[in-house]
Amino acid sequence: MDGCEYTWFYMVAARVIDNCIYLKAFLAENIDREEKKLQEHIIVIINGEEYLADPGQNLLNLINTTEEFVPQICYNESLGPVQTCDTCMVEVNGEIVRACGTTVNSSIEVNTTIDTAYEAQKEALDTILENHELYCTVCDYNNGTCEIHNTVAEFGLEHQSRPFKPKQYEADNSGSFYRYDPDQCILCGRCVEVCQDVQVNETLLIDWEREQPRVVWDGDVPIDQSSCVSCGQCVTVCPCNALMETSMVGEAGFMTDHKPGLLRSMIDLTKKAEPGYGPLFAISDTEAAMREERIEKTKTVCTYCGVGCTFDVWTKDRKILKVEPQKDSPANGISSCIKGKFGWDYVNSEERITKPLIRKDGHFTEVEWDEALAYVAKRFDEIKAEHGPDALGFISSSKATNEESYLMQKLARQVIGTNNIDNCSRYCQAPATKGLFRTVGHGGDSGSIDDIAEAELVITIGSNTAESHPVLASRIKRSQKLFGQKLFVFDLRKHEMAQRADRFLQPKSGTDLVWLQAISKYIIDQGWEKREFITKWVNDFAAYKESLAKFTMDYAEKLTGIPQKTLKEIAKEIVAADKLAICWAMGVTQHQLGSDTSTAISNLLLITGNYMRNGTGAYPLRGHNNVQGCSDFGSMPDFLPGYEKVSDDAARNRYKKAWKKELPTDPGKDNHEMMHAIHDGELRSLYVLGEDTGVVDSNINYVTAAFEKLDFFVVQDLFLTKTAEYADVILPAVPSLEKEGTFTNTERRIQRLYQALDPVGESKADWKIIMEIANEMGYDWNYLHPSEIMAESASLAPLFAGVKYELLTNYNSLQWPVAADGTDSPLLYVDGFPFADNKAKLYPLDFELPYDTSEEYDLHVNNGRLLEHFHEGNMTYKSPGISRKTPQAFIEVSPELADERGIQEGAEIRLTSKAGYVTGIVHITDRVSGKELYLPLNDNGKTAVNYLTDNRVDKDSNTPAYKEIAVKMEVLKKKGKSPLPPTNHRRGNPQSQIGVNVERKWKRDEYTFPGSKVKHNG
Amino acid sequence: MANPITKIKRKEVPKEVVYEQNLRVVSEALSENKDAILKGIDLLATINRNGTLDMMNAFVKHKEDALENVMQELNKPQYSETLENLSKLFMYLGQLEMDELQYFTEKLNRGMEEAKQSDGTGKTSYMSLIKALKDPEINRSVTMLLKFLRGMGREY
Repeated sequence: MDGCEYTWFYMVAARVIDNCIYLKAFLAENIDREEKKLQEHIIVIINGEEYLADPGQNLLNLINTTEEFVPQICYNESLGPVQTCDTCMVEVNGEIVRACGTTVNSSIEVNTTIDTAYEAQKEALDTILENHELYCTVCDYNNGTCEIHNTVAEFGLEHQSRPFKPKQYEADNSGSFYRYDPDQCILCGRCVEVCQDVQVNETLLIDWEREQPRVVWDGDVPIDQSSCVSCGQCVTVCPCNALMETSMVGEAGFMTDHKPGLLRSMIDLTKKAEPGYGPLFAISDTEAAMREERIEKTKTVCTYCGVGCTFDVWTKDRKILKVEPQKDSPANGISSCIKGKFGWDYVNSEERITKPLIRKDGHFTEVEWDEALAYVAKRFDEIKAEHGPDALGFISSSKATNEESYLMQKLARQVIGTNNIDNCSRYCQAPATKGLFRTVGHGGDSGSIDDIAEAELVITIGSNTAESHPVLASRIKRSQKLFGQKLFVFDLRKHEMAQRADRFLQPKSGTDLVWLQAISKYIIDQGWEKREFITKWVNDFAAYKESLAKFTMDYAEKLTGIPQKTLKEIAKEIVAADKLAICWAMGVTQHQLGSDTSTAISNLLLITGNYMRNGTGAYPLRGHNNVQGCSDFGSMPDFLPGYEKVSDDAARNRYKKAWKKELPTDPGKDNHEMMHAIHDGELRSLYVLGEDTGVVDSNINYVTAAFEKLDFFVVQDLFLTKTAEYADVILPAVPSLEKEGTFTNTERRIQRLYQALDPVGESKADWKIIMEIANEMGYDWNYLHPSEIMAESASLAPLFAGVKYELLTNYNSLQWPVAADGTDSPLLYVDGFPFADNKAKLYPLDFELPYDTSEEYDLHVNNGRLLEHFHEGNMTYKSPGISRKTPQAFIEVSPELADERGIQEGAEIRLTSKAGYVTGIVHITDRVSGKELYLPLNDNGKTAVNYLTDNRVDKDSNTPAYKEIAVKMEVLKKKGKSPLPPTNHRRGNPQSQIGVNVERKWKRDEYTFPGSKVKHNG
Repeated sequence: MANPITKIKRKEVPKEVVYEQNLRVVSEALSENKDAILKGIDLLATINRNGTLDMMNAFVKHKEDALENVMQELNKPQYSETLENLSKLFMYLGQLEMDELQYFTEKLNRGMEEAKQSDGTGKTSYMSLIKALKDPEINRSVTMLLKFLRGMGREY
């Protein structure tokens, strides 16, 4: 055979082998499917009745779907089996076992009521009551949800067989937010489970080996000195009063607010007077029912980051007793972070503005609403008459509701007649939206947080996820720790996610686009792209491929500093992963190439087929509770609600008809352009709603100078913010707890908040204030409730066609697009991409390095969030607990730079950029390296980062390039007091393990399996 | 031109206005709840006349002290034992089988009747005791007592 024949032979052989492999796979799949069908249900007989179980279902979980009752205390649906309390003993095929420790894999016969099972259950409950004193009537946890109380009552246990044994430990009251009472702790280990494997902060453990085991923090330090991040999840899952919010102690009950000694004698007497559990429960249940009368539980949506946690907030008059996430909370389940769980003091702050204020003779004077509204309307009218509608600008708030965003843009467009309306997404997420519009067509996360958790490989780029989106980060941390998910982190700074990552890469600042493009090129060059997916679903492959020519491995290595070998390995791993999700945040968007880099991410996902399926997609993590919704509902200079262009005649005419008003056709000015226009004398009036623009915009010296030039300036806020100091009129608004409406989280999930408190003083909901201004200006808006505003918006914007308040009651939610029949879209692009031919687009990109440090300005300032503070700090610094743990912003300096400059912890330095300077206190840490500094953005004083930032912006979206600051350092003081108090969690020492290690409990000498004891006695 | 300012001049609401406003709220509530208020006044008048109001007033003002004293006292063994006994007695009553007890008590009463009639001087010898067993009434009693003793001594 000559060469040709060999080739032919090999080709045929290869084809045959291929086909065989295919056939084998085909058969295997079909056999699997058949087997699966047979296995789909397993018959389980429980107390003589037949039930169907899923293969692998937990037995206790199955029993709980039937009418049968089995006592259970450590088991929690959200946590799964912990196997510590031993109360769920049942007989399975003649043997006593823990139901929660039993997986149904074959047909079994279960008896839950047989004497031996009953005795084992009783034995376990008796053991629990040796560890937990039942003084329910005078216990702050007696609110109808105590799981020990309820289990003992339902089981019908009448007497304590063995007396309660106090432990020798004192209660730990050291923390600001919750306390631990070892005497009441039954060591069920739920708190450990949630800390280790749900929050994955790895602080709590049970020390099973000591004589009297207890829960310990960081191996045994007081709560306050541990690595605890105060997420509060241990408190949420505690079945009793062992872990309790300090805000509940002495507040919840009618008879719990007494001095400790008196409380003790009341407890003793309660136990004497109520000897059997029956009478005790009768009295305590009555008291619990009485509490319902004065404690309100209201569902609300968190007002901090974009994860969109929902929970019940417990209030007694104006006091906030606690925040309780629910297992049905769609985005967070039982999870929460320090801000959502404990950061609500700002609502009752003394600094709240309670009456409208007007600037008169160098101070603000309190006035009545009539006067303030008439004044605003008159000035708006005058300026419009004199300079035209485009001399007025409007800035909406990502803190306010969807309905309020809708009304604010309606005020601008209908009442004033201008498109000069924008919101703070301009400062953060506009580039991501731009990148997604260019490629896949919807400006939002491709799927849900569940999809991120389900991915095989998660890549985060420029996202300090564990601090900025803590609850979402925990889902990644859990998947990585327990389920083999891989995590690659691209960031400058070695933050928590970087420390946990399987791969941590530090590309040079602003060069993410380069490695993304280079990896895409390499994948295509190797022929590893998802050909079938591209052919079917993606346009413009050829042009895109051509545009990649420049992005060789050499070029990428040179610009990013990442070795070629590593980049190639990453490319290989990306291709090998069946499901890839990429999360990114401000480290990508706040650059001059923010939109392009976001586009490059989406391109990479397209060529690897990582759209349209669960567990895949693009996740630009939204930073504020409603930064998604504020843009969605039209507070954008170029978009009507639902992202329809203002230049789109059909869309505009729909609004024109509904609002009976001709609307402007040209895009208006964004936030940043408004500031320029004020300096240029074009913009004369500004109305800012719930935004501290004078702190959070870049180059604030320039911004505040603009404020000074305004003819008329209205600020609507809770507090007299830095921005409000420049206002002519300040209108007092209310926080989320004092109004109704909806927020949209990062998953495009629309969720309802209910009113928990009355407005303070004469403050009002933003939607009411906006409506009153419109009506003062001669319009007749008649909304009685936010649901009517939503109904109007849904009738006009196709994206929200089916959104109705009736579909959003309590913990129900909708992820847009929502079809007219109410069908929502947890996963986008299931049937294709929202372009004419249903196909996505690959978008060609170029690169030039636009920013670098220089010899004079030789240090790079990275900036971002801290877990415990939010934004400029207007809300979180009002919490004494948070401020005690983290009293001020600080400047992170690497150990090598500190050495070089001869400074130590607590040094005071001045940083000067071309735009301005800040001074601050130094914290030395290896989270930063070399000549990179990190400055948290949560400060509105002399350490506010935006004194340093300048007017450079993303070329496509005008988002400030906050992350591109070169500075020089001046040392003011060589060392001093550390800005991080000893109680800050960053000083802690976490101890990682999986779960609660119940096996160590079983190994203890005195431990006997309740089943075996019963057998022995019997 | 607007410089940043932080000074707020609060609007002082005149005392009279606050007074008027509060009065309006109260009188509205009075008018809406006329009957309840009148009954309440009647009740107040009564407990004022008999001194209860003063006592309640003093007690509420010293609630914490009073509670402490009461708790201290109630926790002393004599009271707490009474409390414990009270609740135990309550449980005990629940366990008694009243029908049978009644039957037994009836018999006991009849025996007492008979015993009362005896003058208590007669002497009983062994022989007369054995003879007495032939008396059906005595025999029934002894049989019953023996059964009772068996039941009482039985271990569960």
